[in-house]
Amino acid sequence: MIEFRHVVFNRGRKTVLNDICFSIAFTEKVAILGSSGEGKTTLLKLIMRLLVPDSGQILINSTDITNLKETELRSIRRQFGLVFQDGALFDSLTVKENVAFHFREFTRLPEPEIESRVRTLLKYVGVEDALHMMPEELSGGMQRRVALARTLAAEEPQMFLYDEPTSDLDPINAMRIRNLIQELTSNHRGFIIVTHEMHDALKLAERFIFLKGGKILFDGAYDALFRSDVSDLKIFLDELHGD
Amino acid sequence: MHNKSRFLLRKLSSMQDFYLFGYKGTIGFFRKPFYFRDFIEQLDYSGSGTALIILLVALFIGMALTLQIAAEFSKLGMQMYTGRVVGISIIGEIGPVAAALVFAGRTGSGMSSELGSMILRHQVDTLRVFGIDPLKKLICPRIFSAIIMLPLLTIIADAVALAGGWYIISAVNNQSGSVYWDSVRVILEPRHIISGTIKPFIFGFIISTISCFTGFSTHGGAAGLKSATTNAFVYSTVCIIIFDFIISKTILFFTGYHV
Repeated sequence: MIEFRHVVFNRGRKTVLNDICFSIAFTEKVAILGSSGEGKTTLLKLIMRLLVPDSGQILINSTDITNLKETELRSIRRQFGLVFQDGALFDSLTVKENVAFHFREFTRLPEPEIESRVRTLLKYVGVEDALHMMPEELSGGMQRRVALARTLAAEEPQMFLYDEPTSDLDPINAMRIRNLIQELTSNHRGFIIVTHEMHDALKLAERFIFLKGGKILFDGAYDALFRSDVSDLKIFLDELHGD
Repeated sequence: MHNKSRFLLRKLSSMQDFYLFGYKGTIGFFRKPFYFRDFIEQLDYSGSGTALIILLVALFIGMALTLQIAAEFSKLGMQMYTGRVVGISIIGEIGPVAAALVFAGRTGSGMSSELGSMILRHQVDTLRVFGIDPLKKLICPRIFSAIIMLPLLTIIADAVALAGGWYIISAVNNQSGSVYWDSVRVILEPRHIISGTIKPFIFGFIISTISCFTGFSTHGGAAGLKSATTNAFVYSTVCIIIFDFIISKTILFFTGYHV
């Protein structure tokens, strides 16, 4: 369970998140919606304690992570699989080395076993042909799928965190990513997807949180979403009618 | 006044962060886990990538310096002392400083831009998510590779610069090369050797720490990256010049030259 209690986060003089409160179970499928710069990615980073809030508490399974040391955070972070918007692949490493990164850093597996596991993971995300390619040779969609494979190699996360997983992708690659996200929610694993793409949110999520001006203006299920009278959220929903 | 005090506070806070960064980056190298492979990669990057440029710069500095000194000394009939002045200048001052400046321009800026790019593209965050301390994996190998590699490069730079001087003396000025080398050898005292040996270690630490810190503090996209890389070189250059004076003065003081 993720719990935000009156979380405030400032960047310089700007308040990015202001008195944010919510709780999300690890099995939930949540979409965090909002325009660019509304603090959606910041929220994901706070969950992973990559950022420290200015005030308030963030609890993961009842443990307040706001003041934990880096060494203590490892057990918290391994419960999540975080996929950044651009994949955040290590650009000095090949695709194989990126996916093998965790095995090489934290296990003593023999090289053939590592290669076998890497191939299996790449096959699962559909980019097995890219084994020896460098990240810059991959398309945006492929980079994100490799990043997903690397996340899966790292741990068996209880919950995935996706930062704009389909932004700037063509419809086919976006669909592939959405399918992968859906597949990975088996075994009662939930996710939080940060996006401003309403199509993604509606196809994948069951709960919707809308951020605006550092506040949560809406938090509810599918039905309530369309009944909401929040004007900014209506603009987002109008995007669907426009299509 | 309010803005000034806020600016001062920000600068002080940034300096405190820098000292902590340097401290952690240094002691982290001696604590597990050791990233030996990253260390070797950084040695290669800072060594093989910079060596040729430093050699080229050192050769021409040595030749230009010797030309100037020989020209002045020949007017006074003191050509046989050219090697003395060239030797002291290169080994005690110009060699370490020139090598450090080239190192800051090539390796330091490279470190800063690479780390800055990793910050902007969330690669450092990804390391933290994996439970890897970015300071140990990224910073410690860079600091220690610079501390080891810059002194080696400086030794080579000194040798090449002196050889450049010898070429000018013997091939251009038609003077005796052996007199030049004797002149260099006779004048060199322990304080010159100490000065030329200590400086590269300190410069290596300064350049790598500043470059890594500016890279790690990158924010604000491409403009931020440009600013980080520029700052890495500017701050390193200023610190090299200031510390060159401080080290020279300190060594002179402790070797009995109270000038």
